[in-house]
Amino acid sequence: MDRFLHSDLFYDFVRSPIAVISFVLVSTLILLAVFANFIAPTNPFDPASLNLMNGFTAPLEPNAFTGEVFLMGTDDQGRDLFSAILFGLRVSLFVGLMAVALATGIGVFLGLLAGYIGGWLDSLIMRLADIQMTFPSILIAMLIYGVARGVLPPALRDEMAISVLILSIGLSEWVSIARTVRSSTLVEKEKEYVAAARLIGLNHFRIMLRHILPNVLSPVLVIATITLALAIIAEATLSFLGVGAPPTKPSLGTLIRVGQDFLFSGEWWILLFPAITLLLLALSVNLFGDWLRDTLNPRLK
Amino acid sequence: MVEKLLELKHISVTFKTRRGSFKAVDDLSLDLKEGEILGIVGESGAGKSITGAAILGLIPSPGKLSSGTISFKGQRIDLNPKLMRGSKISMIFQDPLVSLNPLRRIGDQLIETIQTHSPCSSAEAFKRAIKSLEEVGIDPSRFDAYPHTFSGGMRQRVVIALALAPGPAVIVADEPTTSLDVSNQDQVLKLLKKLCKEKKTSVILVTHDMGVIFQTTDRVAVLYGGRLVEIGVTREVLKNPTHSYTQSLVQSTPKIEVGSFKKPTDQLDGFQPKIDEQSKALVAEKLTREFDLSPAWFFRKLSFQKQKRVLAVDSVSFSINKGETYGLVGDSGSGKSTIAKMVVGLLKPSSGAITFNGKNLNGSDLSHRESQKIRQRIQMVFQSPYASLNPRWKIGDILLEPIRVFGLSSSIEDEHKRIFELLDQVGLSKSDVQKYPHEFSGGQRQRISIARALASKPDVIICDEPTSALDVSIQAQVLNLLRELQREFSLTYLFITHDLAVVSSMANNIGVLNKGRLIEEQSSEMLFSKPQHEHTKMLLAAAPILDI
Repeated sequence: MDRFLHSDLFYDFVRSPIAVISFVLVSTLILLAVFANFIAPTNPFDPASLNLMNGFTAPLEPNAFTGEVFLMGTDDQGRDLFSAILFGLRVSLFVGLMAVALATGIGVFLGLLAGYIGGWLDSLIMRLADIQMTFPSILIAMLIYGVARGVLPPALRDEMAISVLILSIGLSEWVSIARTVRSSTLVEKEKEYVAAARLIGLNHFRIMLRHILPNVLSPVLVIATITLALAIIAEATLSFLGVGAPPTKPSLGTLIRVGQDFLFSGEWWILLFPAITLLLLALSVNLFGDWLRDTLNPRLK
Repeated sequence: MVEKLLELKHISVTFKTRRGSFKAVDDLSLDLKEGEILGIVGESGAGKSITGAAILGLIPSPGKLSSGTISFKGQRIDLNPKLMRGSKISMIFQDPLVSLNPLRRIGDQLIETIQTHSPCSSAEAFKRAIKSLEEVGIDPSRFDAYPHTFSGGMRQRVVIALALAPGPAVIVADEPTTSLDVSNQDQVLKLLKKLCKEKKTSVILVTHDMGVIFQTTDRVAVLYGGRLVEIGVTREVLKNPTHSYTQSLVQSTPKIEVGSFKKPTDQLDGFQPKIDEQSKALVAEKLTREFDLSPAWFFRKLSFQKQKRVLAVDSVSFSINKGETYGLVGDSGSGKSTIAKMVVGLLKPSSGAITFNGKNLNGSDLSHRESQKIRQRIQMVFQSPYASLNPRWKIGDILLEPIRVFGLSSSIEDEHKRIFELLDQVGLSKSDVQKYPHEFSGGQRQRISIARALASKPDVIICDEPTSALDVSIQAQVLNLLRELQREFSLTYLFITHDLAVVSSMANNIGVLNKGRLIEEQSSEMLFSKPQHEHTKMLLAAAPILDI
């Protein structure tokens, strides 16, 4: 811990207002999502707690029928928007993080293999990556989503919706990570410490894992952070298009889709609050990722 | 008295960092007379490059000229360095690969430089550009060529032409020949010297190489830790250094000293391991290696290209006796490192054989176990002290790995004892096991690298340019360490270097490589006194040797 407090990274962090603000914002949003069930006044996933009479209540105005007051108003079902946003944030973050974890896992593994082994395997993996790059990643995600839904029995579809979402976003984002890892691996494997490891007869698997992997991880950290913002937006887009999180377990994207229906009939809050939350989340993750990239790459300074 | 062309008065350059400010140059005063070549010599961190940069006002951020004045012909230039930069004072950089714009023809770069500093017609500028190319010995028909079509030495000539084109009074040359082979270095330095004498241009030559200083400069300034230690006429300073630092610098500079190594047989008989003339430790027979330069598999198949091959090592044969040091010398691209990689098994020879203690290393009859046993006994010390240690590993773990892999210790206490023993043998302390490589200096890292090679108790150690990245005083220490270890453990060395002076003090026998072929093989004494091959003679003549 002491080492961290004296590191260049921490020094730069404290001196960059953007980094501090975005970090505080991300942490707040994560904490809100994690402790949603303690903070939220109602459980928006529980249909029994909803009262249709509360529908379309404006923020901070008492409902005409029940007299209840809601911080951010309610939607058409009478669902408390503040609670829905907290739980939606949880879904969005969870999907984003898991998708990034999946993309990073695949990307690091394939990138290491391609860079270290080279030859036809490298050609195969990287051409596959090139082909995937020619399609927008949201299209790939929809494709994977569609196939997965088609394979699943109807009864499982809603239950597995989140897993399918993670899978489809994860599989659509691995390319940039694999490319970065591959190029770092190409640099690292020519260094003499790798030759020294080969001299004592270590097998290639151990060299890749114990020697090269730790040395290619810092660019991965940066890309993973930026990919997190992308994944969150991808999830919101999918949910907005109606192929993501189901309305019974709404994510931020689902809430925005619901809100969009009522935007021109005067119920602006149903769209606005989830949209602002998504904006803050994606923006702060992105800013933090940018700062991390600039700091870890001295050439950009 | 000759007029002072350039005068540095009490200059200090300070770098402000978060860990406090650091004086790279500390109260330095120098002057440069018209037409003289002044050498600035020192080890890394002495502040010599910063001094050169300060004259041009090119101190890298966050450094600042914190005190002192720089004046050119009595006029202060530190306040507005752009006034003189390029036109009156120009610079030659170390790396000719990056100091020329790769996307522009050299002729255009010359014309641009000429026209920037003296307004003249295009025809006039063209004439002058052609003339300056002729002066540096480059065929004017290459006027429209791009930098990548030139060799390193030729590129540095173009850079010299560029620096001289505006007719400057002073040229600051920062390690102009460090990245060149000895033969090119010699030519470039001679050219620089000749042109500057002709044009009465003064030169400040910044270098770490005492040999270059000795052979090129009129006066020399010795820097240490940002301070001027000694200044004076080159021959006198190097012959009779008054300051103890200069003395040690001159002493540790390797000279060609035939037979300066102590043959183990010179020692008391019966005590020291003798050179065992009968048994060969390592024999290479008609070693050949080809490289495939064709594009990647996929594109080659796609475009139906044939494989393009280049011969890096061409049937090289040599043998090393047990307990001996065999030196391999050659320019860059002569195949030295390729041979090293084949000997340790990092590369497979295209043909030929390597025999270790009578066993063929490339034979297919070796089991995994046997080859592992042989690996254990042939280890390597690498060139770069920065890339040869895994930056994420602690020193203890780096040394532990070979011990574990070869199963050399039975218990954890045993392992610890062995690691401490290794650190002790290379002159490091026990507390270093917990440190990471970046906490050590270049010389200390090289010691760690040697300790790692020793960890598996090898018979043969391949040293691939083990000291070329180190300062001379550190180099001398590392070479001494290698000699001591050789005596203590009767090691056999294959010592690979481009530096004739270093190899003369280390090797019993020397092989000279040129373009992949072994052109000469002699005992150390014979090679330096009676070289046979023309190329060897040329190498010996070109080597910048401190010869006092």
